[in-house]
Amino acid sequence: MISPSEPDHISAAEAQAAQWCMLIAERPLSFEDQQDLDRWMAADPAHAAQFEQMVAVWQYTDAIAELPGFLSLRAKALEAMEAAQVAQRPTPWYQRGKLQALAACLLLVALFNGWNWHNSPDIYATQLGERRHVQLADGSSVTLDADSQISVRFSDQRRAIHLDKGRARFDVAKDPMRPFAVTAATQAVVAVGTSFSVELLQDQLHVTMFEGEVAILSKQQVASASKSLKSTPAAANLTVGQELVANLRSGATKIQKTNIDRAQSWENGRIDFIDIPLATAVERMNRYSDTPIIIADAATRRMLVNGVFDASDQHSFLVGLTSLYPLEYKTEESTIVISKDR
Amino acid sequence: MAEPVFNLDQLNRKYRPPLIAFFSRRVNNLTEAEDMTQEVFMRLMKAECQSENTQSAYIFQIAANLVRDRARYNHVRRKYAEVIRADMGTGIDPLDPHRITSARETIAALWTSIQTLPEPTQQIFILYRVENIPKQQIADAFGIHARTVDKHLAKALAFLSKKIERRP
Repeated sequence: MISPSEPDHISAAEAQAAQWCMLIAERPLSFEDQQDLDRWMAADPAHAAQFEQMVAVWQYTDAIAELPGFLSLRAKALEAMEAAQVAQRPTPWYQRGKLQALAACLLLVALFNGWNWHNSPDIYATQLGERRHVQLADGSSVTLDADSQISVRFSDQRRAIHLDKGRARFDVAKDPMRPFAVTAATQAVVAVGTSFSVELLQDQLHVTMFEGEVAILSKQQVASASKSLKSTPAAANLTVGQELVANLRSGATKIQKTNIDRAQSWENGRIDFIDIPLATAVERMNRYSDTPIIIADAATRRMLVNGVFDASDQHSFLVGLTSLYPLEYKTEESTIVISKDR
Repeated sequence: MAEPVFNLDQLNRKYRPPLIAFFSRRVNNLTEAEDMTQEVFMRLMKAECQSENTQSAYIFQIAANLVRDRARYNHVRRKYAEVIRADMGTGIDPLDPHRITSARETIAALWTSIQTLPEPTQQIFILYRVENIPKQQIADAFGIHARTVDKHLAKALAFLSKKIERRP
């Protein structure tokens, strides 16, 4: 069906139709242009149809310009142009890095343009200690951890979700024509059909892949790059068993391996810690209790902890921690404070 | 973040071909089609800013109004009605956003076909059509003649248009 040589076989009329389409896009038609085009259209009834087809390609290309797959082709094209320029002359007039930055900006610029909707989003939220399963209109499903909230906005072109707080797992129904984008804090996760979770902590963002693949972009980098046109790191791709951790203070991101089973255990009410900072462990436990735990000092916050706990059993968590690590806790008015053992 | 993309150059690039095609099917000569196309942009500039999402719908609305006003003015409703009927037959009205969303199959075919384009043709097409980079600039960057860029573009458009053609 598609042979590689096929693009070479174009008729003179097709080439002419394409030229007309490009000419019209570039500038207003002069009187001479108009006469030429009229004459060409009149010469053969097939010409008008060919011209219409070119216009359809022209127009429909915009409809796919924001697909994740197409965005990577666009980034590749811009990078190829940049590379060709650099190879050609050592100091090109066309500012170096500009195209690369453009390439990196693509996804988010596209996303933001669609962000500004008139309709208010559907909001789903959970209380302390409550987990909830939500079926979305497109067939995708979301599991919300306790004390979490998402805003959902669907249109014909895109499915957009914002994680306002907490953690959510997404099982995305496949729809290549409508990318599924989850934004939270500094990052945007774009998927077509896949399973992953996004978690917002006080100073970190975690994206964990359970199935498929997603593209991840930084919102801040894109926003600043589009103004200054400085070079920007390209988007990351995340695959099964990987987790992206973005530090919301420094902006640094890293991708690390993760144990999928344990990363999903919260959905069954278990909280599974493997060498994670105490601050993160506490933040997760706090989603399940109206008596929040507070950590006394920064050094203690950074201490790495391990263990599996029942999310709703704060007492066992405290007892477990203080018996395994040199820590102690005391209950104050409406909080519990963990500090170093004295 | 609601920064409206109101770059007239970019809008022209994007919407001129479909607008010219739209008007030339409905009026008798290209001079008028060209005037009406420019009128659309004039009205768009005067209107309150539009988000990208509603922009194409809005442009279509302006264009349709222009044609309707003109038909009323010239007492040529009959011809107008005929053209509208003819459009329904082809199934391609490049301006109507509702048709665009209902044309998913066509769009999917376009996407598949773009991926099968040979690399230099594909990249040049994307740089020109989607990134709005002028032909000469593309030519300079790749160290090729502007005419070669032109050939790649014509090739891409012709190839893709064959691929999305509706088969009976």
